[in-house]
Amino acid sequence: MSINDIRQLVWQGALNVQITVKPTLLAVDESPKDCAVNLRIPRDIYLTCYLPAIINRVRDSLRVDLDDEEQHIWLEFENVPLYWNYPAGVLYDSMIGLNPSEREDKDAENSLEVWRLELAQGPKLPPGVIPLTGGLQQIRSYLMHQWKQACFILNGSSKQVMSLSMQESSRFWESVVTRDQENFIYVANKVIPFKPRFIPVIIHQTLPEVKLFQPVTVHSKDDGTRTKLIDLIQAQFPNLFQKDHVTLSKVVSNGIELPLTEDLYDLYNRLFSLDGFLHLSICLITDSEYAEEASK
Amino acid sequence: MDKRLIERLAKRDEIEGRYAELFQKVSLTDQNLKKGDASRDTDSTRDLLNSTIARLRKELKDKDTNVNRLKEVIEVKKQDSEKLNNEIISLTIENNLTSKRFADLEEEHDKLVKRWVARVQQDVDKLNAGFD
Amino acid sequence: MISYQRYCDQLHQLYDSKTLQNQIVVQVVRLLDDSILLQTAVPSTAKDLSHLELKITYSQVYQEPLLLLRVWRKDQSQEDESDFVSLWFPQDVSALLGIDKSFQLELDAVVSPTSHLQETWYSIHPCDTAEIVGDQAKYADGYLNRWLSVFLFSWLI
Repeated sequence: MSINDIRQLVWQGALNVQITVKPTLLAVDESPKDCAVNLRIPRDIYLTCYLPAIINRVRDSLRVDLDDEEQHIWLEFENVPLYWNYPAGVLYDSMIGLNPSEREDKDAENSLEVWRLELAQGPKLPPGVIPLTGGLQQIRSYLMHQWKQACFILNGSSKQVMSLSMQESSRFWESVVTRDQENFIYVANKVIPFKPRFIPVIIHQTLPEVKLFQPVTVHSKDDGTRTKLIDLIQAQFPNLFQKDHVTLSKVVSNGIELPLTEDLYDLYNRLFSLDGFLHLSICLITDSEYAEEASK
Repeated sequence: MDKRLIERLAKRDEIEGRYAELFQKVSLTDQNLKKGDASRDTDSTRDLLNSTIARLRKELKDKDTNVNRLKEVIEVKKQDSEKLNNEIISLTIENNLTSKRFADLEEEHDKLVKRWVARVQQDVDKLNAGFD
Repeated sequence: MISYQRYCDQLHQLYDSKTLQNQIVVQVVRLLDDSILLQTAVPSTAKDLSHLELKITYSQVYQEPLLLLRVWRKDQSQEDESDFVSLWFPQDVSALLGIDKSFQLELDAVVSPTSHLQETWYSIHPCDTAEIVGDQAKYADGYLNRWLSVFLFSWLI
């Protein structure tokens, strides 16, 4: 068992997603159920890559023109707009507040996990949602932009990404689109150093409102010891993860709960997403888990 | 740690992978991502229908905009009419008050006239008595 | 490269010096804790626009000042000359505003370090800022001013 096995599982993870259309956009006599699109979407990709496929499937049932350039299109989960600029799996974990062990307890042979999203259109984009004006090309340049940032955080310069040849950066993008992990890892390995300056981490908090944290995270602390997940999370959320107290929350990444005492850079190396960041989401523990913790 | 992460990821895949066959895998390099779906474009009737639908959708959008604009107009008019109604009510109240005051004054006036006539009658009676 | 503390000091000096306030195109200047918000008139080449919204802020990742930009345009649905304006994200904003292509101007999601909410801005990629501005010790005191003249005044005025 090795890092590569984990990276492969991270890369291959996928979600069952059902996309319906906002009822106000539907033509007369069409019901949202009838034009639902069921897609299997990799966790480690931007949802918007699939917008053209979704649009093509629902186009004929709509009363509006989805190609209208004066209008914007976005996806919503329970009426909350999704920021497409994070990988699908990250949005799923944070938006539903995934608690992996709670889900395992409820799981049965015939249970079905579906993420239900809604396609929305309007003249004004919800705040914070990046407008899509350039199709897949825009998503590609956004991805490279993220890698430049991740690279700078890791190495103190974006040189490793900036100096990729045209061919290499095309291959990198194609690896994402064609789900070819080998080429992806080839480029990622050029960027990710053995010992980084800082670690690219983004923390997602959904309750009570959607908040994002991009802490400056050192690889080693002043005393020379390496940063553990718990160090980062205690510094960022002192109320949720009190020292020597019952922790009220869990840290989830890629659909699994992370052991808090693990070395942060080891976790990064195994679980980083397609944009070069380690995405963490904070979920609250259940009442019974709280009771169990408290009794220890 | 690796073993633990792998176990958890595998469990995740077991849960999230159930009934995956009901959910279509779409290749992002597919033709079906191209606008308008290439297979349809060969059919000229379909083309014609598509352009008609596009035109009708545009008309619908214009109508929707118009409906919304008119709704706003109605809203403004509604406010206007409410304002007018309020004015009518306040004027009616004022009118009522004035009418009442008028009636009171009329009554007082009548009383005064009656008293005045009675007094004049008295004076006349007195005068007449003096002549007698 | 400039430290956060030094950046904050120079930002306050900049505000007090009224350099920004004295520019003709600048309509509104607001100093927030560690950023300055500007509203400016649009370059004459760009019609139908209302104004530009600019934010001078600090990038913790790059440890450089960061210029953020948004375009507001007059609402086309409003026929009369009223104050209805809305955000606009044109595809080629560099060409629209006449900003040199050597600045990599890209649509970006910026997470506010205070509210932790995501905002959408065009940003000029800051990764080679130090080379452009010059970060020798003798320039350190005027770093923000030098940065400003390259990243903002070179195209705005």
